Amino acid sequence: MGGSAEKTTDDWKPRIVAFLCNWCSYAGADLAGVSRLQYPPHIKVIRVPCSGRVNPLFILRALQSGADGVLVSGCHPGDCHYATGNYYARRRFALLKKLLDLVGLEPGRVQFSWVSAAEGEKFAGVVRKVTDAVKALGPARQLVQAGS
Amino acid sequence: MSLGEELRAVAKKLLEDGKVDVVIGYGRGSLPLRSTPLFVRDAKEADKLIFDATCGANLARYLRERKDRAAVVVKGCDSRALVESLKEKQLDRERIVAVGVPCEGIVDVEAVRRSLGAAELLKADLDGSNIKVRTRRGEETVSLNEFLCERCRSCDAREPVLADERVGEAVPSPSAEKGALREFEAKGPEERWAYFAEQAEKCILCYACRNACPLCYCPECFVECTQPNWMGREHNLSNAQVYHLMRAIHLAGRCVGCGDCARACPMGVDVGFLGEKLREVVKELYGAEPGADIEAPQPLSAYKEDDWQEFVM
Repeated sequence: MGGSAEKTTDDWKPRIVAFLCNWCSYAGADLAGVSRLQYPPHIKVIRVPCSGRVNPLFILRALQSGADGVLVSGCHPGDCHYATGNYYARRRFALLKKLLDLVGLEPGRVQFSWVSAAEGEKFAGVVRKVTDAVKALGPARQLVQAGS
Repeated sequence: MSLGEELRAVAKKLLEDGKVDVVIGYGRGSLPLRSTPLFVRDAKEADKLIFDATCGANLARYLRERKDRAAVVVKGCDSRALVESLKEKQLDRERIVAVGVPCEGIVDVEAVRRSLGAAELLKADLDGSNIKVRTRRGEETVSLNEFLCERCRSCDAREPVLADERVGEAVPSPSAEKGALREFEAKGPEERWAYFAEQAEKCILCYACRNACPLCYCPECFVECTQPNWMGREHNLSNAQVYHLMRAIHLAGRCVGCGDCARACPMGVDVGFLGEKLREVVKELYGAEPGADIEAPQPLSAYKEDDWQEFVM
C-alpha cells in the first residue's frame, strides 16, 4: 500500500462520512439524537434525498479526501419514499462492494445499512459498529491523496 | 472460398446492390501484426478487406452518429456491443447491416514484442497457428495461442449474436477460461491491492481505453465534469485508481469484454480485469449477460425485490 505508515496515536479520531437518506435514515439519526442515545461522534452526515442519489463516485471521493470510513444508509427495501430508489441503489452498491473487495480495499471501510425513521436505536448501533470497525483498521491508507 | 474471399464478396455485393453506403471492416495495417479500420465506399475497394487474428478493433464504435447506411464486420464481442448500443437507442437498426465473422482470438502484439525483448517488430506474419516474427535479433516463430489477448482467453461467446450476413464457419465457443480471475481472487487482499496499485501506477490517464470503448459515449464524461470537479486531473495513483474503478462501474452490465480498452492502452495497463469481474458478478447476481439478448433490461436499470443484499449491515 502506498503512502507513509502512520502510527495510530491516541489522538487519532476516525473520520467517517455518512450519506443518510432524508426520509428514513436521517430521520432515524434525528430520533437517536432526540432520544439522547449515546454513540460515537465521529460521523459527518451528508443528507441526501434518497440512497439512490448516492453515486459510487461520492464514496470513492470521500475516501480520496481522507475519510477513514464511509457509511451509506437508506430506507428498508420496499419502504423507499420514492418507491424504487433504494432498489436501484442496492444493485449499484452490491456491484461497488464486489469491485472494492476484488481490488483488496479493506473491508469495513465502506458499509451500507437500512435504517428506518423509527429506528433510532438501530442507527446508534450501526454507527457504533462502523466506528469500531474503522478504529480497528486505523487511518485510511488506500486511495488517500496526499494533502488530504 | 477462404474467409477473406467470402467477406470481400459479401461486401462487394452489398455495395453494388446499393444496400449500404459504406462497408466498415478491417484492412492491413502499416505496422506488423496490426490491422486498421477500413471504410469502403466503392465496390472496387472491397478487395482491401481482410479478416484474421490481428483484427481486434471493435468496429461497432464507428456506427454511432452516422447518417448513412453502413455494413459493419462484427466478431462475437463486437456484435454484443452492437446489441447493447441498440438497447441504449444509440443506433438505428434499419441503417445497419451486421456481417458476422468467426473469431478464435486476437493476437496481443505488445505481448509478442515484450516476450522477444525487442523494441519493435520489424516484420511479422500469421502462419496458421504460428506467428513468424523478425526483430533486430533475428527471426523467430512463436505460437499464436500463447499470445492471445487476455480478454480473448476468457471469451465464451465467439459466435456473433446479431448478423444479417454470416461468413465463415461457426467456431465452437469454449467454456470460459476463468483461471486467471480465480487465481487472482485466491490471493490475499494486500496482494490484490498491490496488483491494482501496480497497474494504476502505469496509467497516465490518457483515456485511450475510454475512447476505444464502444459503450463509453457520454457527451460529458465524469472525468471532464468541472462543476463539480469530481475527478482530480493530477496524475497520481489515487486518481488513476478511482478512474478505473468508476469506469468499470459505469460499464457494469454493459461491458461485453471485447478487450479494445487493453489494446488501446499505451502503457500496458491490465485494463479490463475489473470489467471481467463485474461481468461475472452481474451474471451471478442478476442473470445479466451484456449483449446476449436485446430484450433483456440492463441490470442497473432494473431491480428485483429479493435482490442479493448480504453486503448490507
